[in-house]
Amino acid sequence: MDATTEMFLLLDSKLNIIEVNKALLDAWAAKPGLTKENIIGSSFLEIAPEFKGTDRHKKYLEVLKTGNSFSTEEVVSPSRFGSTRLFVKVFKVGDGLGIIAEDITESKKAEEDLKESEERYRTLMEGASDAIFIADTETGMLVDANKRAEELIGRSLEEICKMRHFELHPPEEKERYREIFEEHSLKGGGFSQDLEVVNGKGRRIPVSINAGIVEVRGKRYIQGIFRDITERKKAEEALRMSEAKYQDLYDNAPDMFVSVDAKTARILNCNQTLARATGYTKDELIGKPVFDMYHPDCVDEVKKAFNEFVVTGELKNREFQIIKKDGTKIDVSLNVSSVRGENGDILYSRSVWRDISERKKIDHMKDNLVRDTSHALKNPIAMTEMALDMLERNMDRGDMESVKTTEEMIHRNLEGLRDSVDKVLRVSSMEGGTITEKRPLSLKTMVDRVEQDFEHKMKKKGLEFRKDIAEGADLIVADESDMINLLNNLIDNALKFTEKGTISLRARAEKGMAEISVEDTGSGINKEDIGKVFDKFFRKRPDLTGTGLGLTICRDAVLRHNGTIDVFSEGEGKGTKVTVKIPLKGGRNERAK
Amino acid sequence: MSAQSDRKQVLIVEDNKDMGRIYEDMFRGEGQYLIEIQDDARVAFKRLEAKEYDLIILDIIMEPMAGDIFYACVKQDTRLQKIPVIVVSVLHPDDLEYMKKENRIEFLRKPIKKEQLFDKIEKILT
Repeated sequence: MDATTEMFLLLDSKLNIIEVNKALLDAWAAKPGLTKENIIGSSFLEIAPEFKGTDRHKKYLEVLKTGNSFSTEEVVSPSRFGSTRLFVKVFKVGDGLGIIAEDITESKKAEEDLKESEERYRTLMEGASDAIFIADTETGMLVDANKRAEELIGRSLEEICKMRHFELHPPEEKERYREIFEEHSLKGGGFSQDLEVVNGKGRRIPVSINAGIVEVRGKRYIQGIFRDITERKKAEEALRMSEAKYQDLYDNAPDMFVSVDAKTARILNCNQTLARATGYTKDELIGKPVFDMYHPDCVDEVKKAFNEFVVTGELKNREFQIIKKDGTKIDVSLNVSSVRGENGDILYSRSVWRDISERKKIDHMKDNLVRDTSHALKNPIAMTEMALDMLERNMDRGDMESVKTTEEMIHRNLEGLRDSVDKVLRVSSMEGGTITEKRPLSLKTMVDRVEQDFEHKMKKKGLEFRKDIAEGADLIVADESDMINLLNNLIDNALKFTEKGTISLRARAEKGMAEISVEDTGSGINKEDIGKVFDKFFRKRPDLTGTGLGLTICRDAVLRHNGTIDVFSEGEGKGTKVTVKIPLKGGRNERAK
Repeated sequence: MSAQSDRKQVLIVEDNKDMGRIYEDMFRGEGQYLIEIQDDARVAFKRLEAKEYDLIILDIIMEPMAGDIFYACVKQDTRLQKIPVIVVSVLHPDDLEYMKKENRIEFLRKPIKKEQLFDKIEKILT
């Protein structure tokens, strides 16, 4: 009994001390003159007068009376150790009391220290702005996590503590994460990597993980600090997207971009547009001497321009031809600016080639148009001038008959001149749209008028003109000059391409529209050309005069009337039929704009 | 008949009726020339094969056969290619590059004066 650290005291029913052990005597050593010998038999109340009348005293008496034991923690002081915390058990022995007291001052303190350190640990954990997970390196089990960690993966601490570390991550990458964990467990030291976790809903969340090994009572743990980098990733993605957008803009710009080394004249970079336009791959183009890209006819000029660029750092609107991989050429305009180094030297060019083939083609067509219309204007002027000379000669001769015919000739040619001017004006107004004045018109009357103009030509060629306008198809609602012009163009075209046979004009009513067709037995149109007949400046036979605008004017006029126009031909030599639909008077299409 | 054979035979290929009337008027009273006006170049070519002419006056913009094409046909024939040609057109000789190189061809640009035409004719036929 004396060997134990527990203190023992035995009292009789009067609370006189019967037995006491050494531990208690040691504890009481603070009280002077106390020995085991002089204690035995003395009253406990005399030894510990402070006890008398306390709650404890009453409880002791209670145990004596009832026989029910009790235990309590009490602080006794003074003692050798100052304030002492005791765990006291009081029970009935025979008539008396047995009291066992254990000094728990030390263990209480350790417990409190632990509690305090745990609180500090918790505070650190919970105060962290990032998620923290603690995993046992041996088992791989998660043993702790903070609030942020719970939020990050959407699971409670309880759930987390049932998981193994790799269950935090995408299941399909389990092995990879296991390897990372094991390697890090062995190696120790710091660890930092951008990885992913999967939350309770299965959503992947990008995280940056900083991990370290911590040792607690000989056990190794990995403490992982997980920072949610969703926002950062989003920003990175946005940046990547915007870079991709610029790359796309560069690569797929409508113009050809090329950078040329100012020293070597070789291509440093180019866009996909250039590759596509020339039939080369980007790889083939990069490194190529830029002069090889030009048509041999203009290379000398290009070299001159290059030397100019090396000095001035820019070129504006130069027109050259570049050559495709297949040898065909593209008309381009060249604009160049330069990129300079820190010392101001020109490093390379930013060159833009714009495909101007279409513009060149239109320029050419415009030249034709100007030439043709100038002929159309010059001829009646020349005729009128010559007719005036003729008039003078006949006046001198006094041949009044001839004077009269000459005057008629002058009038005719002036009329022709006016028509030509009208036509040119119509062409130029074609672009901006013209004002149409729609009113009821008789198709028959208009056809008769137009027929007169062509009578001579028809006879000359020996062609027959047939017309068949059904009663219900006569009254249309249209702009008169548009319709006259339309009929003129259609018959003129038929005449131009027909050497023998018939030109037939038919009209019939169909669903509120007059379907007017002009059919000839002429040279027809082959399949490749039929789609082009409405193109501005298309001319089937460039040797024939004409503006190449006839059918374009027709189509525009028809569209202004909400009508349709179609061209049919079985092919070369098989004649042509043009069908136009124009709203009839009283038809349901009349009101349409 | 003999008087007629002394006269210079001039073939005028011109499809414009009014221009034809102007030629008729210009040649009125010029008894040394006998003119024949054809408004279809294809018919005119047939006439060349059938008859001898001293001079051709040729328009260019004509339908159905244009003057330059007519001339290309004439040039194919060794007999016909010797006949001198005056091109009378609104076109500038520069627009007729192929014909411009031919030294047998003289050019007059419409409008023409009677005197201009006869200067050329006399220059060629004397």
